[in-house]
Amino acid sequence: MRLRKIKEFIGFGIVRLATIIILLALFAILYFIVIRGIKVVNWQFLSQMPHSGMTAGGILPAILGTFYLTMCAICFAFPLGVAAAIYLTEYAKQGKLIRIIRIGVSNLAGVPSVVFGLFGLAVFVKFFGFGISILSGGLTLGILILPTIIRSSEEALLLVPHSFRWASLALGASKWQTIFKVVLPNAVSGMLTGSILGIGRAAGETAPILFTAAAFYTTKLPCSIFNEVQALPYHIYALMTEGVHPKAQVPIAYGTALVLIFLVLGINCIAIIMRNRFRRRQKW
Amino acid sequence: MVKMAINMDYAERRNRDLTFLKRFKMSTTNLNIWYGAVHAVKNINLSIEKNKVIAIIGPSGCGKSTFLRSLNRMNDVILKSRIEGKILLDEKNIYDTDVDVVEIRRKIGMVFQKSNPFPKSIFENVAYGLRVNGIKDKNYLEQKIERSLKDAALWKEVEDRLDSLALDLSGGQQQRLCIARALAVEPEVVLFDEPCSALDPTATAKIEELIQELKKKYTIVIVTHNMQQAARISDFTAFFMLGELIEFDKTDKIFTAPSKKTTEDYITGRFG
Ligand SMILES: Nc1ncnc2c1ncn2[C@@H]1O[C@H](COP(=O)(O)OP(=O)(O)OP(=O)(O)O)[C@@H](O)[C@H]1O
Ligand SMILES: [Mg+2]
Repeated sequence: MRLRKIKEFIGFGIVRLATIIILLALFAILYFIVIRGIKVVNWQFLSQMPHSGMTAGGILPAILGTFYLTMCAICFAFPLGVAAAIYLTEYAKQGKLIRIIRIGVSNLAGVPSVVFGLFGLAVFVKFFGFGISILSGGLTLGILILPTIIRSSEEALLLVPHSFRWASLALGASKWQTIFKVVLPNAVSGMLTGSILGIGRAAGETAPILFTAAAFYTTKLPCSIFNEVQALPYHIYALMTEGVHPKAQVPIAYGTALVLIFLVLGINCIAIIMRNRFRRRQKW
Repeated sequence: MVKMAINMDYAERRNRDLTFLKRFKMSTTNLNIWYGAVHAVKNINLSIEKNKVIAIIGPSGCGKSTFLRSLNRMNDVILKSRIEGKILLDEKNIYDTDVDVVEIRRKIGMVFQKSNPFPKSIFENVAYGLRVNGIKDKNYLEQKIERSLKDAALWKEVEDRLDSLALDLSGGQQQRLCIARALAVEPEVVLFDEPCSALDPTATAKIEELIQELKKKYTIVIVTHNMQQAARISDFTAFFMLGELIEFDKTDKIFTAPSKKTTEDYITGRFG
């Protein structure tokens, strides 16, 4: 009897410890970044161009660049991913081929991001001739987050009860009408949630934009999708590895990291809030 | 001489067939349905008279729902299901390759066991079937929706809140909304799959009353587990067991003098 209690105590102790370690790690990262980065972050930092060879000034072009890149990625990947998910769950005959496609999509999610970078370089930059640009980088990031979008869209579609589809079909609606008038409206919030998580991922990636979009330093803000841009994650990388004034650059890198982390956390928070609101609203 | 006799015979038979077709709205010939290897419905021959209520009874799993779904081709939606045989609607086999499934489902409406309103307003629920059939005229929609809700005996309860969410209605009201939704597209046949199984006696009584009213305009097939209900509301009763049609006759006859022993055992509650 006592032995069982002791075992239980130890067991719970271990899982509790594991949770605490994870939380500690998370807070350690945040603490570390905040402490080092907070000194340089202020309104000027967020709203000005860098100057003096990036040893002073702000990171506005990088913030904007990341914004443009993720927008471009989502505009490309969301419609494509949703369309693929509709095909996979609603239209395709469930069989071997579909299983293989699903496995393919899952594997796409596991491909190292630098490989996407190389792919983007070969296809968008060179083959299509988009050059190093927002467009090339956005499309590359889009492909990177495609599996996330397909997966979450599929899940959202499968969550829509079959009874809705049946009701619609039994009223003489075609399959297409059923999908567009009944299934999609009830799945769209779930799809958006997954996609926003995808945006968070895209915003933080360095490798895919390394060869496709990122510039170390631009003197102007980007004015077309064929311009190269600065981006937050690459900016950090550049500040830490290049340049000759590490004393001035390192604090800016931490400041940039702080901005990036809060941007990504913010995006994820939006996704979580949306999901909760959506769950509360649906009653079936 | 012989030839003429054959011709007369043919003409007579043809006439008989025509009156047969006029009397019957739907009929199935050698209908077999499988799910994978499961033979769910076995060789059913059954004719459904116009403007009558046909009840389908039988123990759980005997293929009632499967049979019902085959009547408006809702089985097509189920993977692995396979069908053989003919189902005539008026004079046309609905499983012919040149038949438009969507049109069939518009002509043969269905109300499901579990009420399944869309997560939209009451108005939009009833309007749905009309909208997907291309009706946009606001006046017409409003009239049609009022008519359907009245036919489904729901109008009085919802007339002042057509814009509220259908899912906020009570279970019985939701089921009547589903009936209204099915009626709005003006079907010729309405199929009910245990429409009252989740309802209390008052709501059930309302729906039974409603079905009596509906048969003036529509032909009705209803699956039910409730023997009293079948006896109360139907003109004909089909008794299914293990996928086979054991007996099909006037409801009075089935419940007072069934010709098969199994039927008698079932309706007297000796099994099932
Ligand atoms: N979607 C399906 N896939 C595979 N088998 C099915 C499916 N639906 C029904 N069946 C099988 O077909 C047979 C008949 O089922 P059906 O639902 O028609 O019975 P039922 O008479 O309506 O039963 P109940 O009174 O419980 O509703 C059962 O053996 C069932 O397991
Ligand atoms: Mg059933």
